[in-house]
Amino acid sequence: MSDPMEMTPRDEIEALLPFYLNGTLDGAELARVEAWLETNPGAQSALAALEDEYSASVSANEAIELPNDALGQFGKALEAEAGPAGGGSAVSVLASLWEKLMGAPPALAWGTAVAALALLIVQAVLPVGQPISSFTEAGIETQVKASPYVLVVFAPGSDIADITSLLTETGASLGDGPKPGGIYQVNLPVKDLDAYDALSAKLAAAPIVVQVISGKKPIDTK
Amino acid sequence: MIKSAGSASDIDLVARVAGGDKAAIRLLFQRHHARVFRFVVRQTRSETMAEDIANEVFLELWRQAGKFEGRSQVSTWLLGIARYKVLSARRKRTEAELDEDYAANIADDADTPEVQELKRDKANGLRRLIDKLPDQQRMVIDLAYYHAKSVAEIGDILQIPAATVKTRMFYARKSLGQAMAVAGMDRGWP
Repeated sequence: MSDPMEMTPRDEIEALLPFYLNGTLDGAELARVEAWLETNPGAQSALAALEDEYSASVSANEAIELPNDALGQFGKALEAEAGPAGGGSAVSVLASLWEKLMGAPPALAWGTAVAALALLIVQAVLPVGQPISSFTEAGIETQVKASPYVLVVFAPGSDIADITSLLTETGASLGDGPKPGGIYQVNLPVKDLDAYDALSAKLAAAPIVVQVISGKKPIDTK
Repeated sequence: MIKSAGSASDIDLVARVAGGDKAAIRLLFQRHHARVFRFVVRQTRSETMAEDIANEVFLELWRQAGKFEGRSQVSTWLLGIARYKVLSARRKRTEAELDEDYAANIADDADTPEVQELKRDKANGLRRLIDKLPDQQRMVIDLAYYHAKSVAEIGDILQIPAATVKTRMFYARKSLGQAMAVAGMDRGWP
């Protein structure tokens, strides 16, 4: 059942903008939104509003703590459903660890305008098969669960040494990536919003950074 | 994207699950449980209920893997199962317990607690406003932003037409924009 209401052209654009942000818009709707963003003086404030809503939704969801030993509990339920353990091909410990590294943070597929600026750095720079960084299993869960982060697009041709140097200088670390559009999650060692904003600005000012998008922010307790 | 030698796509894993591969379903659980669990918590407001429902979602995957045709992403399929499980669980509750609309309206013209929070701390205030949206609107917001789903995928998950997805998104964003305006933060719309 469709909702019987009339939306203005601006209303329709505002309803589509979140899907432009997450990279799932295509065809005529994508062209329409892009044309509006290029020509409308309200585009900047509209994109800023999107960023605020995205951060709020992500932080609200990520604040939900996951149950302890969820996999263990599911394993018991599975055995009760399917019978004794066993059967099927084994998944390597390395593959299982890798999937934990990639599993938890939400993906953001940015619109084509940003995607056009991004480069898959891994293809150009990093040796194939080398992990982005090393974590213990406990470190992965702690880092993924708790850390504030931003989403970063690095400049085409950025060398891994330059990226590593920037991260070392800022105390940040790579959490995930590259996601579609060449976006990396960069975890920030900050505890308040002022520090978050300052470190985000420092990253954005770096020559090898094309864009910094707000992600999960620390909860301000002031 | 870097892939390890042992990684497999979700669709590959579902095919293995259909053949009785428990390691494959455990891997799918590791990949998707967090989002499924949080999706259910956001609807039920109960982590206990969400634990049970999330397990049921993956047990349903175990039972139905052979029927998955791969026309949608596995994550979309799982969220659709989760939505069905939540609605089924709600139908089992008594009338006195049902409260699908956790908030009738958020700020229109009044300086409500949510608007006051917004003035003090925009990030937390906006988060609280999203939490207070009606269930139908909040789900569309979360599915678009946190779960990165398309209009069509959200329609599949919630079993509503694409036009209704956009309408709910419009209403949700309009409510948020109006509350921001009352708090003195004019976004230029609505």
